Amino acid sequence: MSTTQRSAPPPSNVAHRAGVLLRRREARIAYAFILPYVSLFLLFRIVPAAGSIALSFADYSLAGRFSWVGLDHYERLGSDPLVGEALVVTAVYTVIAVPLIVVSSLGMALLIRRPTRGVKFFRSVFFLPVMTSLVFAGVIWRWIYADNGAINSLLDGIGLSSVSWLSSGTLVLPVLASVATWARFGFDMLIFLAALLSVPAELEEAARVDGARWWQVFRYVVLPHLRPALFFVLVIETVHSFQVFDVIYVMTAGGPVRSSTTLVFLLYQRGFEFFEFGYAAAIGVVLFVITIAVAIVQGRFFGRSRT
Amino acid sequence: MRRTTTAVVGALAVMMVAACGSDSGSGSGGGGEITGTVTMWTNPIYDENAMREHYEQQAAEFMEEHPGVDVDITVNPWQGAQEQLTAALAAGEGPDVAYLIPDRIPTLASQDLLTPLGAALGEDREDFHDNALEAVTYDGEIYAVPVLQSVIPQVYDKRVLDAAGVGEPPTTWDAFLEAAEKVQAAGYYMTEYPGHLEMTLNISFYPWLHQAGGSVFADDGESVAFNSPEGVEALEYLTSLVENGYTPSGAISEPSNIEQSEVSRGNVAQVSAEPQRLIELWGAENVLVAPPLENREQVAYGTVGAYGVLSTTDNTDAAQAWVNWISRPEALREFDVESGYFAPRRSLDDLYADDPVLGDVEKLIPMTSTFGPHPAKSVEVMTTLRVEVQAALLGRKSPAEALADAEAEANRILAAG
Repeated sequence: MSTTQRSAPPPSNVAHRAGVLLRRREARIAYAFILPYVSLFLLFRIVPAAGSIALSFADYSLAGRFSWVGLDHYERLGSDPLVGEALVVTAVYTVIAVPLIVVSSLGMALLIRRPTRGVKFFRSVFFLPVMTSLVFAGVIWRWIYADNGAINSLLDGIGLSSVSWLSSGTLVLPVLASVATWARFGFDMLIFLAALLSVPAELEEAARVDGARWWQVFRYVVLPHLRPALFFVLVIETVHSFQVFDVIYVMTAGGPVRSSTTLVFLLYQRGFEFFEFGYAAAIGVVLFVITIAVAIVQGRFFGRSRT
Repeated sequence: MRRTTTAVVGALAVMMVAACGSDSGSGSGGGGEITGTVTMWTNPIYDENAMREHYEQQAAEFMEEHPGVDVDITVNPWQGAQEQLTAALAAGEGPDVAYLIPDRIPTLASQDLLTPLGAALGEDREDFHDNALEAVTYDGEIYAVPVLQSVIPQVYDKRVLDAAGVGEPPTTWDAFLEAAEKVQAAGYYMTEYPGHLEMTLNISFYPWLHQAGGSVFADDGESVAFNSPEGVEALEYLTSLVENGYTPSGAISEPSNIEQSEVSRGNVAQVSAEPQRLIELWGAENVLVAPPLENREQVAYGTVGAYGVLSTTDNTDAAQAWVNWISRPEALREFDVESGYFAPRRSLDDLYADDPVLGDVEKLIPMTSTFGPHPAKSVEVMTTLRVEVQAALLGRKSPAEALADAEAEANRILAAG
């Protein structure tokens, strides 16, 4: 008779295996939770985006005729003066809109960060434009900026001459940027507000005790803590500005002349007015590449570190 | 960017895998009897409920006549209607019958998306106005059956003319300028020229171009013809209206509807618009309808509304029969009076004989045009020309420069096919 005595595994190995099993189980649960989102994301974002890229190398007619054209659309893009013009308009709009939105939203967040009386009311009111349809708001803003609109009536009332806000090639982009600022600052303000509330009060207090002025406290204490939020807002608003369409569609239809014809507006015209789907897709791909490139550059400047 | 990719280009991607053609049923049954479901997309040409009621009544009578056919009517809002039809066709989900305007017919027909209807009209075509059929003809073939015509005459606000001491509405370009001086002296605008980029040139620039003796396209539709001495004359004339302050400057670049314009405020003497709208705004007693202005030609724009059969249908016979049904004289008599438009049929030329305003307008139908020919790229050409005309009106280019630039771009578009 013999007996075999198995040696028990070392306790550390058991714990390790149990940990691995637990992590695998947790991972499976986690995957199960994200599966619906990932599926929908693939179906409605990645697949159409890939289809769009493929379409940019093809011609497709409404009647269903499809043919590969290689790089034809991209060659045409390179020589199409309207694309160059739209690219400049988009860039100028972005350069005006993004700082305007960031400064406004940060300024508002600084104003309402302290829990003073009525601050919740203002936080809600400032967020209201975010929930308003920009198409609807654009109609109202068009009336406000019209030659015979509210702003010019106000200017007339105080003895100043009227301004052709929407007829001026110089003013139209700042006007559109102001409307975008109105529509967007509430969302960004909340992001900045959350970041501001995480700034340790004692740091600001210590700086003030050391004699720092308001600007110095902001510059050397608050702003470094805002860097991640600032990066996020900059990227989001840059992307949003490159995408601007609805407010232009409603307020200016790309005019006067082509002063507000952005790349996305041009894409819309080519795709949905002239049915040049392949060319429109090529414009979309170029816009995508440009936006990614700008976001990477922004990341280099603002996203490197927290301090 | 991702949102753009999804929202705009996503639709494009769907097109790549979409099959074309409606799957709503068969085509014609045995023994020549038509069968199947006919889906019709239209737009609220007048009060939506009243219009729906009209078509449901027509459908009930039609289905009684053709028991094998089922008619399904959808009234889509005007806003985004074009994009909706485009997306549906691209996804192979388009209707069998759709409401069309002349500008869209060449675009669709050139892509083989419309069924020729000339043969189905048969001898009945003789009853339609020539200019109505011209508007729905592309490359020598009729692609839609007209159901209405409009007239955009000169409409004057009698109160403004009285205040300015202008006895009769002017009928020539020279008389128009003379009247404009008086109207301006009285503190009003002579007209409100809609130069903004949402406005179709059919209503803004093309009437002036044609009155000057010019045309948009060469007769063969292969090139543009607007950069001519007549075209320059028309644009110089319009530029002079702006420079002299005879038209509000805001209207040149600000999209707006008539209710928010100087017209609705009673500050404008003349407007080119359907008089029905102005009767509502000014009151019938203040509306004076005048024939189109005359320079070398006397012509006004008048659109045509028509129904076309999409070539993606599986029920061509039933769809053609339905279109013929709703364009019968007895159907149009009710439809056109209810909608306030005019009938495209000679047999219905007296629809408004008893109406003092619309009766006068009805008589102008022979003077109207849709300014054809309409090549497949006419919408693109209009978009290009519209921008350049606006540039001239805003003083950024001379009229000659603007038309030359537009000509170069438009001919490039036409050559590219």
